[in-house]
Amino acid sequence: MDKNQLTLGKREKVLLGILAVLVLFVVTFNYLLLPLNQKVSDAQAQVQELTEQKNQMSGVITDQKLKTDYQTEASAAAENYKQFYANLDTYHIDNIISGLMDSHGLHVQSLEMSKYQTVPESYLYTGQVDTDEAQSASGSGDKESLLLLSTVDLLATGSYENAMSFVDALNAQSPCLQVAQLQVDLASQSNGDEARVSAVIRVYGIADPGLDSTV
Amino acid sequence: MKQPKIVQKNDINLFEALTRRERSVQTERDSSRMWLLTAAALVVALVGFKTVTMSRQLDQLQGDISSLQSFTQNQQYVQAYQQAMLYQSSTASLRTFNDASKRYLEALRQADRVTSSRFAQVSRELPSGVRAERWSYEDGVISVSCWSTDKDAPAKFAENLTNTKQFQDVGYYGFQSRDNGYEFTVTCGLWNATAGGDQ
Repeated sequence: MDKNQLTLGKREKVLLGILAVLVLFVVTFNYLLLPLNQKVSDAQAQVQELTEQKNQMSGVITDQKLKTDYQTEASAAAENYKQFYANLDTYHIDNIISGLMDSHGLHVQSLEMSKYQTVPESYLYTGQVDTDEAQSASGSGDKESLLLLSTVDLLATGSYENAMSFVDALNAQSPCLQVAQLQVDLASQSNGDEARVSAVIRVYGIADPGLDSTV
Repeated sequence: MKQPKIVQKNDINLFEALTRRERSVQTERDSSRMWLLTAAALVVALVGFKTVTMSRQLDQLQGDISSLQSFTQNQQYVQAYQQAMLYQSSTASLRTFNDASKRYLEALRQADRVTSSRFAQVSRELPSGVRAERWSYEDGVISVSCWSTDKDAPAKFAENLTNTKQFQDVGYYGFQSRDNGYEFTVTCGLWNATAGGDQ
């Protein structure tokens, strides 16, 4: 065997040495430094996230204004809620409307009320509900309406004057009660009978503010 | 016993040039090895330094993480935070509710309403001999159905109402004979129903 073919020359040895150093560098960089660097980056990100979380928690926990703000709004909400006829039931309506009619000389023959339905706020200004607004009011839209509406159909007997005083008393009772329709039929008075009075009353309510007793 | 001193005998180098050449090659080999070893040592040193630095940094960060987690996972703080967040969200929804209810109440208070005085305004303008048989109100309009023996009374009534300038519009569409007299209906628009509602 030729001896010159087995031995490496000086240049090859130097190149092999450089290659070995490079390989050493690449291997340590890839398998030691890069993973370590990744761990450090992850840890830094976690520290940043936890620091923000801690700052947010500290800020919220130490903010006593949150509780007082809540209490202020809750008491205002309870007060506002009372001004609407929120708890609608026959007994309640009977007390209010037929009570008013009785006290103004009208004799109630029938009283029929509808269930509360959600109506858009624009109903207060236009008295009408279009389909899109009704969908929005019922919660499918961006801005959910809190306004509730029920109508009460009344039939009574009495005089024209009784009917007028009832209208004024209803207006004075609450802004949430409105006369939508009124008819006083005086034709029967010629026979000595009382006038027939029919009315449709609007009763406005508002959705429950959801005052949470656990808060 | 004292050993005899060995006298070093210098060999005669007959191939001095050749020896010098071999020494030169050996020196060059040593120099290359030294550079390579130095480079390798530098790489190892740098990697080692960087590894130690980063390990210390990682230890420090893990210490920070433990410290922060001990706060953020503390049950007492977590409960206090959840309670505070509940206050915050409840306050926001209550504020929305209060704003809406104030708006609704204001709109209801400002809304036009039919009153007995509006009926009285119409009633005052009834000409003599005219009998009101039915009063009605709907959508901001008061309607009064009347009977009279005078066929000029319906027009007179409508004219009287118009002259008061108290109504948005007055409607009168004629009369028809009944029971030896004439029946007719007059309407009075109290306000613009589409703008103000009938409330």
